[in-house]
Amino acid sequence: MENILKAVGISRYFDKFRALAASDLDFHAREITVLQGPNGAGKSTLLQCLGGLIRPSTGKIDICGFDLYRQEREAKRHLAYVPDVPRFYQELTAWEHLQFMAAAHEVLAGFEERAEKLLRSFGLWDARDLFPHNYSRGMRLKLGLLLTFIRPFDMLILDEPTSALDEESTRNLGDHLHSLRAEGKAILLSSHHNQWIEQLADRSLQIQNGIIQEG
Amino acid sequence: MQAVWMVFSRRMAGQFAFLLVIAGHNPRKDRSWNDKLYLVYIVIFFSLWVFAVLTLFASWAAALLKMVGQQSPAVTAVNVMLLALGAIAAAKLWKAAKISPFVFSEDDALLLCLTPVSRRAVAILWFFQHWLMSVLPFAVLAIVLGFAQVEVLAGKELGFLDLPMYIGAGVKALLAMALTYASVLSLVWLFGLMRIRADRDIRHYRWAAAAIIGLFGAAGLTDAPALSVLLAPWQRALEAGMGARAYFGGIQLVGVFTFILLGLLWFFAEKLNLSRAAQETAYSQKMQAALWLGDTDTVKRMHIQKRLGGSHVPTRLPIAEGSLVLLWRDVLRYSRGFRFQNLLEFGLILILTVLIFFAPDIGSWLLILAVWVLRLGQAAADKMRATLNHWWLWTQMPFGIEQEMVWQIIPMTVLLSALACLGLLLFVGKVPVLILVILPITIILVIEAGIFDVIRVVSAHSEMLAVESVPSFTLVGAIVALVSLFLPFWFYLQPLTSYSYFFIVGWGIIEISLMWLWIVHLWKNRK
Repeated sequence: MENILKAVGISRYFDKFRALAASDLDFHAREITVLQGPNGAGKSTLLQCLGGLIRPSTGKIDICGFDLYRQEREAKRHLAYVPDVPRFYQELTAWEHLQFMAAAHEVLAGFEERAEKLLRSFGLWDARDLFPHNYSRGMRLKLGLLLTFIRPFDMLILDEPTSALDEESTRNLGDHLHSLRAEGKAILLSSHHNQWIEQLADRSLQIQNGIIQEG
Repeated sequence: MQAVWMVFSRRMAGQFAFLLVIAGHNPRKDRSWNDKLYLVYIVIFFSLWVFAVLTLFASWAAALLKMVGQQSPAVTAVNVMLLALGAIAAAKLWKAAKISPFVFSEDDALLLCLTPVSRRAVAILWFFQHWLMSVLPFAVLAIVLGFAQVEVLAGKELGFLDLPMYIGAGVKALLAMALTYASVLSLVWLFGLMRIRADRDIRHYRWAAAAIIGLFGAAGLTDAPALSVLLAPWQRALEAGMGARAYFGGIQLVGVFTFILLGLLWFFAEKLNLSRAAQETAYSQKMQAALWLGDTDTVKRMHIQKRLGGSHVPTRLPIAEGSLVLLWRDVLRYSRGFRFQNLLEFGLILILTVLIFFAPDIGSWLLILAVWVLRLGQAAADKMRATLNHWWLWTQMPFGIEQEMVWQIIPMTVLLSALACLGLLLFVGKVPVLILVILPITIILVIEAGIFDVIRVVSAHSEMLAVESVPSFTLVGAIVALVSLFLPFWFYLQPLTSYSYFFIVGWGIIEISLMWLWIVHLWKNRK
């Protein structure tokens, strides 16, 4: 299987506290990996390290062959990450955020049709001209997901994507992830929504006290 | 009463503890004898310091009272205090006609507003807290004028033996003012309370506020006896405080007046709608808390969100693919988040940019240069902070720090250089070529120093980015900017030769490139 993300010897320390033990990880195309573990086990730290939000204390991360820190621009073209509580520019509406992300990734062609389809499928069409500070937590999470779906990527990382979603939206997200897998994307997500992830997961990782094991 | 008292006492204790922490004593942690001694020391130190400052203000006030001269100093002082009280009372009354004077935080709302606590207890305790927190400027004014009175009437240099009389005058003025302010405030709160009793809505309440303000304003401005009786209780109390009338006789009336007003507040508070008050004041409470903590980012964010409102039609600003979209984003963000303060700030930077080349002597030049570096460096650092404080969004864009820097440096440099040259053309009639050459170079160097200062800190602690808490401009950035400006300005100040342009441009390019590479290196090797 095609290797999309390769992490070698990554660990993360906060002062002397080890949040993540040194680990080697691979994520492949057409694969949905689920990360599970109790609260405080290190799930978010691992996802933030792989997503480029926190630099690991040791190790190296390659996305589609590009070093996440040495070849930042190229790597970021292939990598998408959505946190559990996304934060947006307060001066831009939801629609303008989508426009901005599409333009940054040079995919403005057919933007309006794609954006409308996505917004409608996630129930945000009527709220497209609102500023994100007027959004509920669930709506913010959906907008965060849409900012990812509007642009091209090969590796998608989602931190607790169902934490603020209602049942219908969760199902909808599951369908999207299935179709993304079919398109050849690699997906890594964490969730406490057991029934949902059982239907999705091709592979499972367990994390406890910062130590990762194949589950 | 117990629940109300618990919330109230916690609020008061929290605010008092905050002041002590600022002074260097943490009452929750510092419990040793050394810490207690330090507490005694800071109490004595600040008491003496406050007294010294008040006497200094009093000497200025005494000079002003002598200058005014027409009437007795006590009358002038009373008029000043009445004017200050009247202005604040009018503003508070106007506000109380729309927003509850009873301010509740989200925690208060949860603990008190949804529970069957005594509304009367809440009203009186909240009034007392607000009075205590807002009486300070009036207390300072009264003490200063009380001291000034003694200085004017003594007609000689005051000595140590005059100290009891001096302090006594201040205390008398303070007590009279505290009581007067309490009565004015209770009147305002009573007015505000009548609006938020139960669920009913009183229409045209602002007209009522305007009528009351007009009535009292007329009483203050005219000598009509029918109207001046309105101000009599307060005027008499303040006159007593200034020693122009028998003390207890003077404050008696305002004391009775305050007592009646507080009694009415207590009586009518039975139907005070706490939930409505909490809804109306949630925003202002958040803003007050942010101001109290010096959290300017939150204050700015709340101002912008309030102005932006709910929605906006999509912009018609043309959008381009690639890194040019960063400029599109910045134009939208600046135009929609624009505040008058931004214009003043930019105006100041622009004026300083021009003044650098026309300073009359080296001392003024250094001063102008230092202020310019601080303001422009701060603006550049703030811009980079505004970008990196949306760290998750930034990581989703296929750009490096280089693109962000390009789209920060180019618009700022072009705009500032062009407007500075325009200013020179308008006021001097020409733009010397040397200035045209050195201006963009120095602007770029200061902007780079501002960016460097931010990147320097986050490169050592990249976890700051993940929590979107990027530091502000520091002295290190200002020093880097000043050092980088030394050689370009040194070349500029030398007698003009054909090599001057070569040296300035050549050295400028070297410095700009070195700083650029340094920033990129720090960024790529962030920890």
